[in-house]
Amino acid sequence: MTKTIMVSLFLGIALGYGHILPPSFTNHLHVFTDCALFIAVFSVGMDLGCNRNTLQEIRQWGWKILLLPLSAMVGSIVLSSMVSPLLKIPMRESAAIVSGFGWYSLAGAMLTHLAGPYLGTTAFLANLLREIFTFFSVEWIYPRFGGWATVALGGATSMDTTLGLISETSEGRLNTLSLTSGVLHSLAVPIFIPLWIKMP
Amino acid sequence: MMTLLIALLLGLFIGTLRSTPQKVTDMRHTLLKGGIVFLIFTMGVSIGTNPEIIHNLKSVGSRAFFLALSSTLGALLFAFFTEKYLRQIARKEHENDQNHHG
Repeated sequence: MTKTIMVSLFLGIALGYGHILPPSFTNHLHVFTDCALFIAVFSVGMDLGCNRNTLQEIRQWGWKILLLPLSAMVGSIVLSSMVSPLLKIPMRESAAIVSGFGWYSLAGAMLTHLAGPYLGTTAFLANLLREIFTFFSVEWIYPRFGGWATVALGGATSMDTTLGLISETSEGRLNTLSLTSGVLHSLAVPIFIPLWIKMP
Repeated sequence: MMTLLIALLLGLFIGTLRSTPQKVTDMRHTLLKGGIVFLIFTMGVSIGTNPEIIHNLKSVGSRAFFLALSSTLGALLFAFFTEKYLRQIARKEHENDQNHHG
């Protein structure tokens, strides 16, 4: 699956960059993206309904499931803060950028508005790259690092764009974990970003 | 966001219904794979057709790259060790319970 994903991403970039696709497709791209996302999330919903593995994780963890998104958020912020001096970025700015947790459209727009186009652009790209890293690594990470690490990769995207892949890779075992973690990450994004930027 | 919730609930409803033939529910894997591949393809096209992204990649690309890498890695490691720690506690509790009963 990872190979197929890489091929379809790079094929998309190449065809888009070379303006090979008909304008009727590229002009309505967001409609096609929404349709694809609808199909993927619909299939995960169906899997939730008829797969017995689905509730296994929730039953096993109970409320402790909340520690997954929490630890993932702390991990993201801590490690990127450690790298920020090397990149010559103030720690609170790097924390704000990675607090998009993969939701690049919101992080980019919010930081452009709050702190100018430079941080906005960096946030857009950094979070877009996080989503791409997730797409490329889920299949490799799951058997080696287990469920929590796999879900953590996706951040906020584990409730929509990367949900399908996480579900497919784990044969439905991570459906509910992935949805829960994604929703909590997504709720945190609009709270965390202004918090870091407005910090004195 | 609302559309996604509808998609999820609609799928859940069809999946739970006992009258849904197994042929239909078995299709979910093919549907999911197709959805993922097409989703990533359209993502690629939207990157390729946006000259700004390619242009910005040159100016802020390396910073964005290392921030993305460190945040992904940080999330992975912290969640991995949290799960490991919780599983250890659960195992110990389980062993204690067995000792009590044994």
